[in-house]
Amino acid sequence: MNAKTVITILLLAFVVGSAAYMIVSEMRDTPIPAENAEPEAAALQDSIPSTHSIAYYFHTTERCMTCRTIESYAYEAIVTGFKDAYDSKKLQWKAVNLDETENEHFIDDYQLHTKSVVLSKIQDGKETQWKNLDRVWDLVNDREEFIAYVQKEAAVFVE
Amino acid sequence: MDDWFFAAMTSLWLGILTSSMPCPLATNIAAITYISRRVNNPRLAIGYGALYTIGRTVTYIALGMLLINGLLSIPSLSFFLQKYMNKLLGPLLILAGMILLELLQFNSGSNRLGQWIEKRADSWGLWGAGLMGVIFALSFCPLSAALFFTNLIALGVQYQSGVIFPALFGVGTAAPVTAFAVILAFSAHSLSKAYNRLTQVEWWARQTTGALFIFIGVYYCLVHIFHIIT
Repeated sequence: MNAKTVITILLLAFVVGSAAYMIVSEMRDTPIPAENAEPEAAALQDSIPSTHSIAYYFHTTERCMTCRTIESYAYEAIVTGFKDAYDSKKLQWKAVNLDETENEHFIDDYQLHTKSVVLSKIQDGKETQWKNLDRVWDLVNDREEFIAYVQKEAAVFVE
Repeated sequence: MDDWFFAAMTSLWLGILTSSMPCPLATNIAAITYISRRVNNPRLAIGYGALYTIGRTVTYIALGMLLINGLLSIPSLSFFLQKYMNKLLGPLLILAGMILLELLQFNSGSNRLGQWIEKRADSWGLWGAGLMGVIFALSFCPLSAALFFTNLIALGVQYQSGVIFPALFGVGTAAPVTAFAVILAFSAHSLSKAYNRLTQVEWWARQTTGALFIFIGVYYCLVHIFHIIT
Protein backbone atom coordinates (compact mmCIF):
# COMPACT_ATOMS: atom_id res chain seq x y z
CA MET A 1 0.00 0.00 0.00
CA ASN A 2 1.61 3.29 -1.04
CA ALA A 3 1.47 6.65 0.76
CA LYS A 4 -1.17 8.05 -1.62
CA THR A 5 -3.57 5.19 -0.85
CA VAL A 6 -2.99 5.56 2.90
CA ILE A 7 -3.70 9.33 2.78
CA THR A 8 -6.83 8.72 0.69
CA ILE A 9 -8.14 6.12 3.15
CA LEU A 10 -7.37 8.35 6.17
CA LEU A 11 -9.08 11.38 4.64
CA LEU A 12 -12.14 9.37 3.58
CA ALA A 13 -12.32 7.88 7.08
CA PHE A 14 -12.17 11.42 8.53
CA VAL A 15 -14.97 12.60 6.21
CA VAL A 16 -17.18 9.59 7.06
CA GLY A 17 -16.36 9.98 10.79
CA SER A 18 -17.25 13.69 10.69
CA ALA A 19 -20.55 12.98 8.94
CA ALA A 20 -21.40 10.21 11.43
CA TYR A 21 -20.48 12.41 14.42
CA MET A 22 -22.59 15.26 13.02
CA ILE A 23 -25.64 12.99 12.60
CA VAL A 24 -25.25 11.38 16.03
CA SER A 25 -24.86 14.78 17.79
CA GLU A 26 -27.98 16.07 16.05
CA MET A 27 -29.96 13.03 17.20
CA ARG A 28 -28.57 13.30 20.74
CA ASP A 29 -29.71 16.93 21.17
CA THR A 30 -32.67 16.26 23.45
CA PRO A 31 -34.33 18.74 25.80
CA ILE A 32 -32.74 19.05 29.24
CA PRO A 33 -35.34 18.10 31.90
CA ALA A 34 -36.43 21.20 33.75
CA GLU A 35 -37.55 19.48 37.02
CA ASN A 36 -34.13 19.64 38.70
CA ALA A 37 -33.81 23.32 38.01
CA GLU A 38 -37.20 24.24 39.44
CA PRO A 39 -36.50 24.29 43.23
CA GLU A 40 -33.41 26.44 42.70
CA ALA A 41 -35.29 28.74 40.34
CA ALA A 42 -38.14 29.08 42.84
CA ALA A 43 -35.70 29.96 45.63
CA LEU A 44 -34.04 32.57 43.46
CA GLN A 45 -37.42 33.96 42.42
CA ASP A 46 -38.13 35.00 46.05
CA SER A 47 -35.14 37.31 46.15
CA ILE A 48 -35.83 39.00 42.80
CA PRO A 49 -37.64 42.37 42.91
CA SER A 50 -41.07 42.34 41.20
CA THR A 51 -39.79 44.98 38.79
CA HIS A 52 -36.45 44.04 37.36
CA SER A 53 -34.54 43.93 34.09
CA ILE A 54 -32.49 41.21 32.43
CA ALA A 55 -29.53 41.70 30.11
CA TYR A 56 -29.41 38.57 27.98
CA TYR A 57 -26.48 37.41 25.94
CA PHE A 58 -27.70 34.85 23.42
CA HIS A 59 -25.12 32.48 21.99
CA THR A 60 -24.89 29.02 20.46
CA THR A 61 -22.72 26.04 21.40
CA GLU A 62 -20.10 27.28 18.94
CA ARG A 63 -18.35 30.28 20.48
CA CYS A 64 -16.38 32.44 18.05
CA MET A 65 -13.73 34.92 19.23
CA THR A 66 -15.75 38.02 18.31
CA CYS A 67 -18.79 36.52 20.05
CA ARG A 68 -16.77 36.02 23.25
CA THR A 69 -15.58 39.63 23.04
CA ILE A 70 -19.18 40.84 22.72
CA GLU A 71 -20.18 38.76 25.74
CA SER A 72 -17.30 39.99 27.86
CA TYR A 73 -17.76 43.70 26.97
CA ALA A 74 -21.52 43.53 27.52
CA TYR A 75 -21.07 41.79 30.90
CA GLU A 76 -18.47 44.36 31.91
CA ALA A 77 -20.81 47.18 30.89
CA ILE A 78 -23.62 45.80 33.06
CA VAL A 79 -21.59 44.87 36.13
CA THR A 80 -19.43 47.98 36.30
CA GLY A 81 -22.05 50.49 35.17
CA PHE A 82 -24.91 49.31 37.40
CA LYS A 83 -23.24 47.79 40.45
CA ASP A 84 -26.06 48.53 42.91
CA ALA A 85 -28.81 47.34 40.55
CA TYR A 86 -26.77 44.24 39.71
CA ASP A 87 -26.12 43.38 43.39
CA SER A 88 -29.79 43.85 44.31
CA LYS A 89 -30.89 41.77 41.25
CA LYS A 90 -32.78 44.72 39.80
CA LEU A 91 -30.59 44.18 36.76
CA GLN A 92 -29.53 40.63 36.03
CA TRP A 93 -27.13 39.09 33.55
CA LYS A 94 -28.07 35.87 31.76
CA ALA A 95 -26.06 34.05 29.11
CA VAL A 96 -28.40 31.75 27.20
CA ASN A 97 -27.44 28.95 24.80
CA LEU A 98 -29.92 28.97 21.92
CA ASP A 99 -28.92 25.46 20.87
CA GLU A 100 -30.65 24.10 23.98
CA THR A 101 -34.18 23.13 23.05
CA GLU A 102 -35.87 24.95 25.94
CA ASN A 103 -34.25 28.22 24.82
CA GLU A 104 -35.17 28.03 21.12
CA HIS A 105 -38.29 30.17 21.68
CA PHE A 106 -36.05 33.21 22.30
CA ILE A 107 -35.15 33.21 18.58
CA ASP A 108 -38.74 34.03 17.64
CA ASP A 109 -39.51 36.02 20.79
CA TYR A 110 -36.75 38.55 20.10
CA GLN A 111 -36.41 38.00 16.31
CA LEU A 112 -32.74 37.04 16.72
CA HIS A 113 -30.54 36.66 13.64
CA THR A 114 -27.25 35.78 15.31
CA LYS A 115 -25.50 36.04 18.70
CA SER A 116 -27.16 39.02 20.37
CA VAL A 117 -27.46 41.19 23.47
CA VAL A 118 -31.08 41.86 24.46
CA LEU A 119 -32.45 43.93 27.32
CA SER A 120 -35.78 42.94 28.84
CA LYS A 121 -37.91 44.62 31.54
CA ILE A 122 -40.19 42.53 33.76
CA GLN A 123 -42.98 44.07 35.83
CA ASP A 124 -45.03 41.80 38.09
CA GLY A 125 -43.97 38.72 36.18
CA LYS A 126 -44.73 40.14 32.73
CA GLU A 127 -42.32 41.45 30.15
CA THR A 128 -43.24 45.05 29.41
CA GLN A 129 -40.35 46.17 27.25
CA TRP A 130 -37.40 44.69 25.37
CA LYS A 131 -34.69 45.85 22.99
CA ASN A 132 -32.16 44.00 20.85
CA LEU A 133 -28.89 45.95 20.99
CA ASP A 134 -28.09 45.37 17.34
CA ARG A 135 -25.18 47.85 17.23
CA VAL A 136 -22.97 45.54 19.29
CA TRP A 137 -21.58 44.00 16.10
CA ASP A 138 -20.69 47.43 14.69
CA LEU A 139 -18.98 48.55 17.90
CA VAL A 140 -17.14 45.39 18.90
CA ASN A 141 -13.80 46.80 17.75
CA ASP A 142 -14.12 49.83 20.04
CA ARG A 143 -14.37 48.68 23.66
CA GLU A 144 -15.12 52.09 25.18
CA GLU A 145 -17.81 52.97 22.68
CA PHE A 146 -19.30 49.48 23.01
CA ILE A 147 -19.54 49.76 26.80
CA ALA A 148 -20.94 53.30 26.61
CA TYR A 149 -23.62 52.10 24.13
CA VAL A 150 -24.70 49.15 26.30
CA GLN A 151 -24.75 51.30 29.45
CA LYS A 152 -26.77 54.05 27.77
CA GLU A 153 -29.38 51.54 26.60
CA ALA A 154 -29.42 49.65 29.91
CA ALA A 155 -29.94 52.89 31.87
CA VAL A 156 -33.39 53.22 30.27
CA PHE A 157 -34.31 49.75 31.59
CA VAL A 158 -32.98 50.33 35.10
CA GLU A 159 -34.82 53.62 35.69
CA MET B 1 -32.56 59.33 -4.99
CA ASP B 2 -29.56 60.50 -2.93
CA ASP B 3 -30.76 58.41 0.01
CA TRP B 4 -31.24 55.40 -2.26
CA PHE B 5 -27.75 55.82 -3.73
CA PHE B 6 -26.26 56.13 -0.25
CA ALA B 7 -28.11 52.96 0.83
CA ALA B 8 -26.85 51.15 -2.30
CA MET B 9 -23.26 52.14 -1.54
CA THR B 10 -23.78 51.04 2.07
CA SER B 11 -24.86 47.61 0.76
CA LEU B 12 -21.66 47.36 -1.27
CA TRP B 13 -19.61 48.49 1.72
CA LEU B 14 -21.29 45.92 4.00
CA GLY B 15 -20.23 43.23 1.51
CA ILE B 16 -16.63 44.45 1.43
CA LEU B 17 -16.65 44.66 5.23
CA THR B 18 -17.91 41.07 5.45
CA SER B 19 -15.14 39.78 3.18
CA SER B 20 -12.44 41.64 5.10
CA MET B 21 -13.37 40.22 8.52
CA PRO B 22 -11.44 37.32 10.06
CA CYS B 23 -14.34 34.86 10.10
CA PRO B 24 -14.60 34.25 6.31
CA LEU B 25 -10.80 34.26 6.00
CA ALA B 26 -10.49 30.49 5.50
CA THR B 27 -13.09 30.41 2.71
CA ASN B 28 -11.53 33.50 1.10
CA ILE B 29 -8.16 31.74 0.98
CA ALA B 30 -9.80 28.64 -0.50
CA ALA B 31 -11.51 30.76 -3.15
CA ILE B 32 -8.35 32.68 -4.02
CA THR B 33 -6.24 29.57 -4.46
CA TYR B 34 -8.96 27.79 -6.46
CA ILE B 35 -9.38 30.72 -8.83
CA SER B 36 -5.70 31.50 -9.22
CA ARG B 37 -4.67 27.91 -9.94
CA ARG B 38 -5.36 28.61 -13.62
CA VAL B 39 -2.11 30.54 -13.80
CA ASN B 40 -1.52 29.53 -17.40
CA ASN B 41 -4.61 31.32 -18.61
CA PRO B 42 -5.41 34.76 -17.16
CA ARG B 43 -8.67 34.88 -19.13
CA LEU B 44 -9.84 31.66 -17.52
CA ALA B 45 -8.75 32.91 -14.07
CA ILE B 46 -10.87 36.03 -14.62
CA GLY B 47 -13.72 33.79 -15.78
CA TYR B 48 -13.40 31.79 -12.55
CA GLY B 49 -13.48 35.04 -10.57
CA ALA B 50 -16.52 36.28 -12.46
CA LEU B 51 -18.43 33.04 -11.91
CA TYR B 52 -17.48 33.01 -8.23
CA THR B 53 -18.87 36.57 -7.93
CA ILE B 54 -22.02 35.59 -9.85
CA GLY B 55 -22.50 32.54 -7.58
CA ARG B 56 -22.32 34.69 -4.45
CA THR B 57 -24.47 37.47 -5.95
CA VAL B 58 -27.23 35.14 -7.16
CA THR B 59 -27.36 33.49 -3.73
CA TYR B 60 -27.74 36.79 -1.89
CA ILE B 61 -30.38 37.98 -4.40
CA ALA B 62 -32.36 34.76 -3.87
CA LEU B 63 -32.13 35.10 -0.08
CA GLY B 64 -32.89 38.83 -0.25
CA MET B 65 -36.00 38.31 -2.38
CA LEU B 66 -37.31 35.52 -0.15
CA LEU B 67 -36.69 37.50 3.03
CA ILE B 68 -37.72 40.97 1.90
CA ASN B 69 -40.97 39.63 0.45
CA GLY B 70 -41.60 37.84 3.73
CA LEU B 71 -41.58 34.35 2.23
CA LEU B 72 -39.12 33.05 4.81
CA SER B 73 -38.57 33.86 8.46
CA ILE B 74 -35.27 35.70 8.97
CA PRO B 75 -34.46 34.23 12.42
CA SER B 76 -35.01 30.59 11.50
CA LEU B 77 -33.20 30.84 8.13
CA SER B 78 -30.27 32.71 9.66
CA PHE B 79 -29.74 30.18 12.46
CA PHE B 80 -30.32 27.22 10.13
CA LEU B 81 -27.63 28.41 7.67
CA GLN B 82 -25.16 29.33 10.44
CA LYS B 83 -25.61 25.95 12.08
CA TYR B 84 -25.70 23.51 9.16
CA MET B 85 -23.83 25.07 6.22
CA ASN B 86 -20.56 25.41 8.14
CA LYS B 87 -20.87 21.79 9.29
CA LEU B 88 -21.35 20.58 5.70
CA LEU B 89 -18.57 22.78 4.35
CA GLY B 90 -15.76 20.85 6.12
CA PRO B 91 -16.38 17.41 4.54
CA LEU B 92 -17.21 19.08 1.18
CA LEU B 93 -13.88 20.96 1.10
CA ILE B 94 -11.94 17.81 2.00
CA LEU B 95 -13.60 15.88 -0.85
CA ALA B 96 -12.99 18.76 -3.29
CA GLY B 97 -9.33 18.91 -2.21
CA MET B 98 -8.99 15.17 -2.72
CA ILE B 99 -10.36 15.51 -6.26
CA LEU B 100 -7.91 18.35 -7.01
CA LEU B 101 -5.00 16.24 -5.72
CA GLU B 102 -6.33 13.31 -7.75
CA LEU B 103 -6.65 11.20 -4.62
CA LEU B 104 -10.20 10.55 -5.80
CA GLN B 105 -10.56 9.78 -9.48
CA PHE B 106 -13.63 9.11 -11.55
CA ASN B 107 -11.83 7.38 -14.39
CA SER B 108 -12.38 3.63 -14.26
CA GLY B 109 -11.30 2.10 -17.57
CA SER B 110 -14.27 1.33 -19.74
CA ASN B 111 -16.72 2.97 -17.34
CA ARG B 112 -18.66 5.37 -19.60
CA LEU B 113 -19.73 7.58 -16.72
CA GLY B 114 -16.10 7.94 -15.60
CA GLN B 115 -14.97 8.90 -19.10
CA TRP B 116 -17.84 11.35 -19.47
CA ILE B 117 -16.95 13.01 -16.15
CA GLU B 118 -13.30 13.26 -17.08
CA LYS B 119 -14.04 14.88 -20.47
CA ARG B 120 -16.04 17.60 -18.76
CA ALA B 121 -13.72 18.17 -15.80
CA ASP B 122 -12.34 21.41 -17.23
CA SER B 123 -15.67 23.07 -17.84
CA TRP B 124 -16.85 21.79 -14.44
CA GLY B 125 -13.84 23.54 -12.93
CA LEU B 126 -15.27 26.78 -14.29
CA TRP B 127 -18.78 26.04 -13.02
CA GLY B 128 -17.19 24.79 -9.81
CA ALA B 129 -16.13 28.38 -9.12
CA GLY B 130 -19.79 29.43 -9.41
CA LEU B 131 -20.91 26.59 -7.16
CA MET B 132 -18.20 27.52 -4.67
CA GLY B 133 -19.57 31.08 -4.65
CA VAL B 134 -23.06 29.74 -3.84
CA ILE B 135 -21.85 27.41 -1.06
CA PHE B 136 -19.51 29.95 0.53
CA ALA B 137 -22.23 32.63 0.42
CA LEU B 138 -24.60 30.31 2.28
CA SER B 139 -21.99 29.54 4.95
CA PHE B 140 -22.73 32.44 7.27
CA CYS B 141 -20.61 33.08 10.33
CA PRO B 142 -22.07 35.15 13.21
CA LEU B 143 -20.60 38.39 11.88
CA SER B 144 -21.65 37.96 8.24
CA ALA B 145 -25.11 36.90 9.49
CA ALA B 146 -25.34 40.09 11.56
CA LEU B 147 -24.35 42.27 8.58
CA PHE B 148 -26.58 40.48 6.04
CA PHE B 149 -29.68 39.51 8.03
CA THR B 150 -29.77 42.60 10.23
CA ASN B 151 -28.26 45.55 8.36
CA LEU B 152 -28.67 44.63 4.68
CA ILE B 153 -32.16 43.15 4.92
CA ALA B 154 -33.27 46.21 6.95
CA LEU B 155 -32.03 48.45 4.11
CA GLY B 156 -33.72 46.20 1.53
CA VAL B 157 -37.03 46.36 3.38
CA GLN B 158 -36.79 50.14 3.83
CA TYR B 159 -36.13 50.76 0.11
CA GLN B 160 -38.04 47.69 -1.15
CA SER B 161 -34.92 46.50 -2.93
CA GLY B 162 -34.78 42.72 -2.95
CA VAL B 163 -32.43 42.52 -5.92
CA ILE B 164 -30.04 45.47 -6.24
CA PHE B 165 -28.94 45.79 -2.62
CA PRO B 166 -28.31 42.04 -2.11
CA ALA B 167 -26.53 41.99 -5.51
CA LEU B 168 -24.23 44.84 -4.46
CA PHE B 169 -23.62 43.06 -1.17
CA GLY B 170 -22.65 39.91 -3.14
CA VAL B 171 -20.28 41.86 -5.39
CA GLY B 172 -18.75 43.43 -2.28
CA THR B 173 -18.18 40.06 -0.57
CA ALA B 174 -16.46 38.68 -3.67
CA ALA B 175 -14.58 41.80 -4.81
CA PRO B 176 -11.37 41.45 -2.79
CA VAL B 177 -11.10 37.73 -3.63
CA THR B 178 -11.65 38.32 -7.33
CA ALA B 179 -9.30 41.29 -7.47
CA PHE B 180 -6.55 39.38 -5.68
CA ALA B 181 -7.05 36.34 -7.92
CA VAL B 182 -6.77 38.42 -11.09
CA ILE B 183 -3.57 40.11 -9.88
CA LEU B 184 -2.15 36.77 -8.83
CA ALA B 185 -3.11 35.08 -12.10
CA PHE B 186 -1.43 37.81 -14.16
CA SER B 187 1.72 37.99 -12.07
CA ALA B 188 2.06 34.20 -11.93
CA HIS B 189 1.58 34.07 -15.72
CA SER B 190 4.37 36.59 -16.29
CA LEU B 191 6.62 34.80 -13.81
CA SER B 192 6.02 31.40 -15.31
CA LYS B 193 6.60 32.80 -18.81
CA ALA B 194 9.82 34.42 -17.67
CA TYR B 195 11.10 31.15 -16.30
CA ASN B 196 9.50 29.08 -19.04
CA ARG B 197 8.15 26.71 -16.43
CA LEU B 198 4.44 26.95 -17.05
CA THR B 199 3.72 23.28 -16.47
CA GLN B 200 5.49 23.17 -13.12
CA VAL B 201 3.75 26.35 -11.92
CA GLU B 202 0.40 24.86 -12.95
CA TRP B 203 1.18 21.60 -11.16
CA TRP B 204 2.22 23.36 -7.96
CA ALA B 205 -0.81 25.66 -8.08
CA ARG B 206 -3.10 22.64 -8.30
CA GLN B 207 -1.33 20.79 -5.47
CA THR B 208 -1.38 23.89 -3.25
CA THR B 209 -5.08 24.42 -3.92
CA GLY B 210 -5.92 20.77 -3.14
CA ALA B 211 -3.81 20.74 0.04
CA LEU B 212 -5.33 24.05 1.22
CA PHE B 213 -8.86 22.78 0.59
CA ILE B 214 -8.13 19.70 2.72
CA PHE B 215 -6.48 21.78 5.46
CA ILE B 216 -9.38 24.26 5.58
CA GLY B 217 -11.90 21.39 5.42
CA VAL B 218 -10.27 19.65 8.41
CA TYR B 219 -10.22 23.02 10.24
CA TYR B 220 -13.95 23.51 9.57
CA CYS B 221 -14.71 19.97 10.83
CA LEU B 222 -12.72 20.57 14.04
CA VAL B 223 -14.45 23.92 14.65
CA HIS B 224 -18.02 23.28 13.55
CA ILE B 225 -18.54 19.52 13.97
CA PHE B 226 -16.20 18.41 16.76
CA HIS B 227 -16.02 21.82 18.54
CA ILE B 228 -12.35 21.15 19.36
CA ILE B 229 -11.16 24.57 18.16
CA THR B 230 -13.11 27.72 18.96
